[in-house]
Amino acid sequence: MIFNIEKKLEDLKKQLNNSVDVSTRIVKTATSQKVGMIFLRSMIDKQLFLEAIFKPISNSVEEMDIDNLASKFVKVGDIQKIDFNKACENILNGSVVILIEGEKKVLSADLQKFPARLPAEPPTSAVIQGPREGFVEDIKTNITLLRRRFYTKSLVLKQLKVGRYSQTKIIISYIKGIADKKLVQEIIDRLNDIDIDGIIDSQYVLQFLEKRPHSLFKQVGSIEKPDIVASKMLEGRVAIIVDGSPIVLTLPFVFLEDIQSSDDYYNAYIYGGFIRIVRIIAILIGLLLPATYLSLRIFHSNVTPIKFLVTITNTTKGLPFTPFFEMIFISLLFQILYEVSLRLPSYLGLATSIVGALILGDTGVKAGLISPPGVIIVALAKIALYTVPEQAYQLTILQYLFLFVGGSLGMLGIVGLVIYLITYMASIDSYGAPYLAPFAPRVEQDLKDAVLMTNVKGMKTRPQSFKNKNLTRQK
Amino acid sequence: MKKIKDSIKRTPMLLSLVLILFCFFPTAIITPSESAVNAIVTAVGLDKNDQGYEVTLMTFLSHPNQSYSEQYEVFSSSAPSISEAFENASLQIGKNISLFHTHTAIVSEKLLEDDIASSLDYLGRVASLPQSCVLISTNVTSKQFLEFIQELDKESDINLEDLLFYTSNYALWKYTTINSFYEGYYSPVKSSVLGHLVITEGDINGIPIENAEKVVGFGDQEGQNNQNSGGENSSEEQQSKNASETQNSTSKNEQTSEQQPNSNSKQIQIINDGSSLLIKNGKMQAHLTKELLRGLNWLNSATTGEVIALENVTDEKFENAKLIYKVQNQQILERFEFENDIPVYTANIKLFVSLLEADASKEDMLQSKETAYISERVRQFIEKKVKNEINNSIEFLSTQKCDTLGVYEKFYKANRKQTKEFLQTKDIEPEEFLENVVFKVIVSLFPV
Amino acid sequence: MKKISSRQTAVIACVLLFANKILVLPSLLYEYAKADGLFVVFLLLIAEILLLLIFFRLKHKYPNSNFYEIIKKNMGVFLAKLSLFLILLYLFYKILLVYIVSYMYFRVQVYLNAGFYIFVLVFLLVCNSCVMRGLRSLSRCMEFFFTFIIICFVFCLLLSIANFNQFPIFFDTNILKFVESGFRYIFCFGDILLLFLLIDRIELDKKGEKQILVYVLTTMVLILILYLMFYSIFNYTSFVHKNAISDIITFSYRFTDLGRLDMVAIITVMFLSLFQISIALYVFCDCFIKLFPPLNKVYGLITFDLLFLTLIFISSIDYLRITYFGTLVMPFFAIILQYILPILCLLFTIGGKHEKNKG
Repeated sequence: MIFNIEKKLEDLKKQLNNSVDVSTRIVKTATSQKVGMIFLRSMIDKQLFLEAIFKPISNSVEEMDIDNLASKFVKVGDIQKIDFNKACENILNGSVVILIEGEKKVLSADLQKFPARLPAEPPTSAVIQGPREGFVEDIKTNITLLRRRFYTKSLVLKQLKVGRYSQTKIIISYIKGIADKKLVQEIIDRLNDIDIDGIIDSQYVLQFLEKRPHSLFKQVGSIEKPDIVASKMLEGRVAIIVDGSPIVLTLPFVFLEDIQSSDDYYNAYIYGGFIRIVRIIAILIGLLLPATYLSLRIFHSNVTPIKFLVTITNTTKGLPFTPFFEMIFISLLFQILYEVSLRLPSYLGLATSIVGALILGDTGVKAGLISPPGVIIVALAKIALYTVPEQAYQLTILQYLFLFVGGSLGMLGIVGLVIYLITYMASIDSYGAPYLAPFAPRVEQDLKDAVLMTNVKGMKTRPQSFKNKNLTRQK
Repeated sequence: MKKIKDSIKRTPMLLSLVLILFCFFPTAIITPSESAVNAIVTAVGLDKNDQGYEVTLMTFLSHPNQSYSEQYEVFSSSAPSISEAFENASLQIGKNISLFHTHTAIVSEKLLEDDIASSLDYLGRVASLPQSCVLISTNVTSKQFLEFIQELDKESDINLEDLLFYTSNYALWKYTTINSFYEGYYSPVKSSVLGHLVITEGDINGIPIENAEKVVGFGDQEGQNNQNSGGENSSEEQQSKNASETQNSTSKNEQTSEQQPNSNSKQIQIINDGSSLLIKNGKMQAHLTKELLRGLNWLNSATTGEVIALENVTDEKFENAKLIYKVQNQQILERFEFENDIPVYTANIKLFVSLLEADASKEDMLQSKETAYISERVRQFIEKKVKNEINNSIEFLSTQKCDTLGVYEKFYKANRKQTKEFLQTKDIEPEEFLENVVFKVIVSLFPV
Repeated sequence: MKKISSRQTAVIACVLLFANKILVLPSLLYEYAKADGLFVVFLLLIAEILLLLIFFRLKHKYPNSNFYEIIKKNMGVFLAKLSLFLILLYLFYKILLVYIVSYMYFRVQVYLNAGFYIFVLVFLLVCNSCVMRGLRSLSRCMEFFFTFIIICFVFCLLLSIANFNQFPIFFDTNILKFVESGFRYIFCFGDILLLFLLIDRIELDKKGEKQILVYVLTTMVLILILYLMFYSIFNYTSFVHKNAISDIITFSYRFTDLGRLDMVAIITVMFLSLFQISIALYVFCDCFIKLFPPLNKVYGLITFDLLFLTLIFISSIDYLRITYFGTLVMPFFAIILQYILPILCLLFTIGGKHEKNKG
């Protein structure tokens, strides 16, 4: 029972460490009833507070108890009657907590508002045709974006709070009747096991969800657009939305997903298939071209076509570096340029790209420090990796690894590393989905959407690489 | 220690990476490019001289430039054996010799006096010369030949590879590889054909070489000694003698030029007319002239583009005209049968010919414009000509006991038992089989 | 225990079928059987198919037992252990053979100046890691590359068509030579035996059996086409060409000029040999574990590596010596293990009750 409102407010203030943005108001109504309000200035919509809570209460002429306060006076959609000891938590979440003398419970009205971005097209997954909205940092908006795509009661959104200090909201979303229950439970268990001070971004959660945390390969899907998440959920996957992050995680994840792009489905499917092949070729070029070039130069000049050999030999004659050193040098040069142009403001970025392309590349060649074939090959390989932007960082590491192996062991080393990597990838199991599915193991039905895809009409079943409750997509 | 153990357990990838890094980083970082260590040889010549063998290598040399031009240099060295000669050449250049990119191997006629199979064996087995490498012979020393080719390459777009490949359509046996040599060598008839390029001096229409005088021992005797020749000057005179000797035996046309030897106005040139060498047991057996080869080409459906010239044709349309026909396509139906225990080879040759050129009076020309013209008279002429040519060639092969047509093998495949019996009753070797075959040639012409 | 699918089994069978047959064997057979080497291979491949059928029967009868248990049940512990021990030696020889043959091939074709430690390191590192990852990952990896390997192989065959010369003379050797050649090089065959040793790890149904048969037959046809092309192209010079798959491409110099298309063949052989050794090594370790029960596969790998390294470093083995050793010692050994043992297995399947399928 609350008797001394001032004291109670003081208590709450103390619990919130007397932070600067804690505001308290005590209103005496016409019936000289005391109503206390406490909230965080930084977290609420002040206009709404005035209009929907403060004015109605201060102007009231009748006696108030908590029930008619909720039903008559407070004109906010989201109100809850809560215990006093939970008040603090609600205040922190951007609610206004209203205390009335003589009541056991307090009223919490959600007025949360903070500066947020509007849904815009994310730069990494831009499409030519198709929806352009992307997730934002605000979890409520993200839920809205998702909910808008499923006007069904089967959409499930479960909330967890993770992080001792951050108390970050994590929402697990899936479609009942499609997603496997065990999968959902496994994810919830894993999330509940997280014991960390704070979750800043979904990448933190991602690392807890990966079954092989030390692996180079990404094992959880990270998506920035609601349309893609929706389609993944329709395939039976589970989406994990983390507050404060515009990136939504999906599980289970297979390697192929990063080669697919939402654009493939919005364009002619034949083109989609073609462009996927191009992406795969680009990955192969990005990973293997510098290494192959290096191994040809160091070990296999005898299998190099003579015309090509003549060009290479002529252009590399007189260079101060050995082939291996040269390639490493050019690769690092490109890496530095990339990093610089990423971090610098755009007007300076332009300048660096000119410096990079013209001065370093051209002059380097002219000065006889690096050879033109080396520059072309490294440049092509570096660019090629960005056809799959989600995997670009992992692939960059692999590119160096391949370069290294190609330079020291030659072609056999490259083939060996390929086998090593594929065996490794084949051993990864992402929540029931083999990482290399549908190629290894081969899943005949899923090949329709693997490389050469069919149109939407042809995809009659959901992916069978992982467990699904309901396989039929169309009848 | 436990930390390291843990990290290894967690990331075995790290372990292997570190291992490779550890073992190979130092060597990898200092390994030079292989093309800097190896000399890329594009043509290799074998020869015999006083010291034993002479190996000549046409080597690609890199020149730092951006124009991607290919520059070649000819090196040679002599030693009692081929392997030693290679060692010497390697020392001379200061690089390993890589024969992987070799597209042509040249042997001189002098080398062909002995069995070359063993000489080539070294190249194939030890030095990894590709078996697909073109093998040709030449009348001069292979060193001189390669120096000519080098000059030719410098001054014009004509290179040896393209020349040989193009000619192979016209005279199939011009395109002879090391493998095709061995194929014949190991076959029951033990004979094969080798492409032959003649370098000579005169008015004949070959490919002229501008700076031929530079090459030692050929053409201008006062020519400067090339520094690359590496001190084999003693053989200079002998080589030039050699060259003129072989000229005698090449073709009738050349004999006219032979009457005015070493005249400065005459150009040195390569004759690529399709003549070849018959090889038996790895040794040179005889020259297969252009005319003889033509006779054999009639029996080979892969060759096209033969031209038939008819003189003094008089028929319904033409009077005393000179007609040139071109064979657009040829089909051959072969039958290998024994008639009364005598092997009979029947070839039904279908020639699809068109009139290429007619040298006739104005009136005649106006009458016949079409290329598909053929008259009974012309038909007879061509048939006779073709049959004659075939007979000549086969007779020549029979006397040389060189069954390069593979007649024995074809008979053996078709009638194995009879062929075996035939050899036994006659008590002859497979290579003598050709003499006993009766040839029946039927030529039919189709104007197109 | 994680089992492998029937497609993966089919892929393993096909990869094993390629082992030792596409490089030196055609020219070795030519020395004895001339172009009839083709029929030697044909007959021995037919034998492989028969072995495969025996395997199906055995799997049908004993869906859950492993090879060791099956032999133990029928012939007793001693014979079971003995046969496993012999298989261990046999596998070691096979691995060595594949290694040496491909090593010589790479050495001649692509690694002119490289030290042999590169090969040892790559082979051991890759194969050991494959074995450590387990059969399922390995077979998935093989499945992943199988289409690629077959496409490359067919590509090589297609390229060789341009070099086709004429059919060689068949049936021109006497029967004794024919049999002798088959007998001498019998150790290059019989790789289906490895499937017997993996019997408990394979999931198999009627459809799967059909799939395996189709795959194996296709591979068999491809291998026979290779032999046919090889003898047709090289005919009398067949015995010189020790790298069949590469040589049929490089026969025409225009192809060499185009840019050494035999690189395709080289990469195919790299994949095949690494896979063959990996799978054989896996089986080796599997036998090792059963032979010395308390030890795990790490000990098997260490044993193999030590034996292998000692042999490689102490003696300079080349393919001539190893095949010579093979022709001298292996034929009887191989016949017992490759053919008599499976036939015994066939006898086990006659009569008695079928085991219940737990899987």
